Amino acid sequence: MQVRKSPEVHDVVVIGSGAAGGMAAWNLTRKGMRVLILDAGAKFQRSQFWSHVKPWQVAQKLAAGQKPPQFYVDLKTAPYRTPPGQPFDLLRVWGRGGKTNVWGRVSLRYSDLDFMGAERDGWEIPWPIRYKDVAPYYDNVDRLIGVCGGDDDQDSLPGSRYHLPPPAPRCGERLLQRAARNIGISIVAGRRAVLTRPHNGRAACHYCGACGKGCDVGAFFNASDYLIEPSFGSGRLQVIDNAVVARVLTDDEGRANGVQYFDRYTREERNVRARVVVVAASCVDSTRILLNSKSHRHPNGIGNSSDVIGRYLTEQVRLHMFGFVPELFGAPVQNDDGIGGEHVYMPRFNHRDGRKRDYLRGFGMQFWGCGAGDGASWAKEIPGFGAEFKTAVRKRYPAVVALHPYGEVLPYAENRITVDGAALDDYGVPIARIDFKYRENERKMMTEMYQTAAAILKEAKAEILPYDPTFMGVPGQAIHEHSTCRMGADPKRSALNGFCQMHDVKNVFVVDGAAFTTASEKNPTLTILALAWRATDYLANEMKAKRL
Amino acid sequence: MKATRREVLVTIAAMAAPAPADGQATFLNAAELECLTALADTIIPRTDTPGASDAGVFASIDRRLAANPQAAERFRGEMKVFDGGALSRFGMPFSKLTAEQRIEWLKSSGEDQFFRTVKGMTVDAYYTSREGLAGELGWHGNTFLAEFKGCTHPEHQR
Repeated sequence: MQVRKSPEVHDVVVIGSGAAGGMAAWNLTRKGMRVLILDAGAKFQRSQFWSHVKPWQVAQKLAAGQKPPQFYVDLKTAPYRTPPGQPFDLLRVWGRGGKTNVWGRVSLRYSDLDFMGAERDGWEIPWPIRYKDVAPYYDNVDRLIGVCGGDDDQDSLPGSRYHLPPPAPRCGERLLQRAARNIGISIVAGRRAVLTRPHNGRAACHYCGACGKGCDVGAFFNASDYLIEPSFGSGRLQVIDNAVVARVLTDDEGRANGVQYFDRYTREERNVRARVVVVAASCVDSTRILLNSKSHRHPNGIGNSSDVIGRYLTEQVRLHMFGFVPELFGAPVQNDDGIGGEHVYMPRFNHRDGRKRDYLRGFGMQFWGCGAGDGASWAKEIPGFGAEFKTAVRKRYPAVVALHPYGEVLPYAENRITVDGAALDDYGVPIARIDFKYRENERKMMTEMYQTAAAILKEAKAEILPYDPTFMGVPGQAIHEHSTCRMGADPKRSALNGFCQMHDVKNVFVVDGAAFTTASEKNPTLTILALAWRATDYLANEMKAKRL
Repeated sequence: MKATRREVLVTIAAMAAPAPADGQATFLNAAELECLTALADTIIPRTDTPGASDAGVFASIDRRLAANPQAAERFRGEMKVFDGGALSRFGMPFSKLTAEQRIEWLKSSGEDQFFRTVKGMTVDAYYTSREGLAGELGWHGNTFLAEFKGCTHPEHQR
């Protein structure tokens, strides 16, 4: 079959259009580069979002054969493998903006506690960058996209001069905050990429709480509306929709010179040419592309002489604990939607009390689902049936509090993504196999995560919904995959330098979560945006200096 | 006399409630539908607010089963055991028992796996229905607010 090759040589081809790819394209077009984005899907139409479809209308509409936008790619189109008994729930969005269309919006800055974890405990390699390197970019990102939150500044959670006002906490969150304070744990205003007032010409949040269905007015950051749409104005951005990338192509010297992709629907193979390739397809898919980009110069996948690409896959380990606070039993039901998700956050504290832990690193805590929600699935755990059961549920409904600790998963060489060529997708490209397990460190940290959540609930005198303290959850469900193409100072132990540039192949940059040296306990998107901005500043300078 | 909001909702629900009828379900047959409706209404009965079948819970459960054939067959098998138990104890299927007999049977059968399955599905369907979520629980979210006030109770503050 003849492969269609485009003769144009793009300055930069960006693979992916989410937080990482969107930021790369926005910054590079702004700096005069001609950029082509290859997007595995197409644009989602905001007018078709089901943001204001009530829960009971959802069932009716589905029954009538209507469908909301299909954000999540199905496993037939995008398969992957896991070993028996070792599940990994991988969730991906193919389409303009990627997962930022429906993301959780939690926007926590990493601190030097995160960047310097390996210096302190000696586990695996250190990050090649520090908070001071990233701080100006966090400032840039906060100003560009709008992040609301507190301005309190801690060693585990830096503040920001540019936060928009934080939303007022709900009753349940207030009561947890008070209980935590009583036992010496600080719960602060959360940080979220939601506009609590109009920002850069965009509408403020109208507190409908349906962010997970996509925002009908774009009041939280998504890469499509905030980064890609504005970049078209430069005249230097092109996007090819439904371009499922298979490989980065190289010349005889091993330098990248293009990208091979398949049309999502016709399955036709096409090649585009590039001076520089920016990989931003989300951690697992980026890694798969790199490992599949084999050549005589790169027998182990492009840029992988160190053999670290695919290894050290990290996620976060979490749990969910629910309770009912007595002050709110039978209270008048309020509209608790707010900005969707919690308004408060418990920063990591386990490094402060001087007590040595039997595990490394730490955990924070989120609180989504406090107050009157648009369902009551917790009621399954309320015993009994009949009129009494109904009364018991109604009484507890305004009193729901929810605690979700998130813990760092250490990088392990054996937690890895591989492609072995035995299993192919519909395009004939080897699929990823994900081998991932929680280990001793995570199990020990989980014990303190359970204890901490239970202690806060106990201090709040809450009725605690039954839970299984040995339950670790299914890996992947935090949707925070990182570290399979990590940055580091030593090219023998890392694939990228501190600017997300490959040690082996100078004209390839990997700017999504794969580049992270460690996971930390925090949600990664804000840091992905900051690092992608920083990387593409460097890229543009290198190109101008003719070093690329 | 002015009807309370709850009374109005019950009346509207009763008028609008789709009754389970043959041919209405896509997976469950008429007898199974009766068993399901009887059990769901025992779990969430009509009180001063609508009950499970007022909220059309059976239709939503049937849709859920139709979408997952494997789970649906398991459900059917468990229902046979459940209903068979009622039949051998009372000489009648669960749906024909009196309210007292239903409660007695559920208490003596120890809220088994089938009960827990139906309770879970009933909770999901009822508390996301207009009757259950807005009517019974009083949810009034997913709307446009100019401002979010949050907690305004001084006693919750410090």
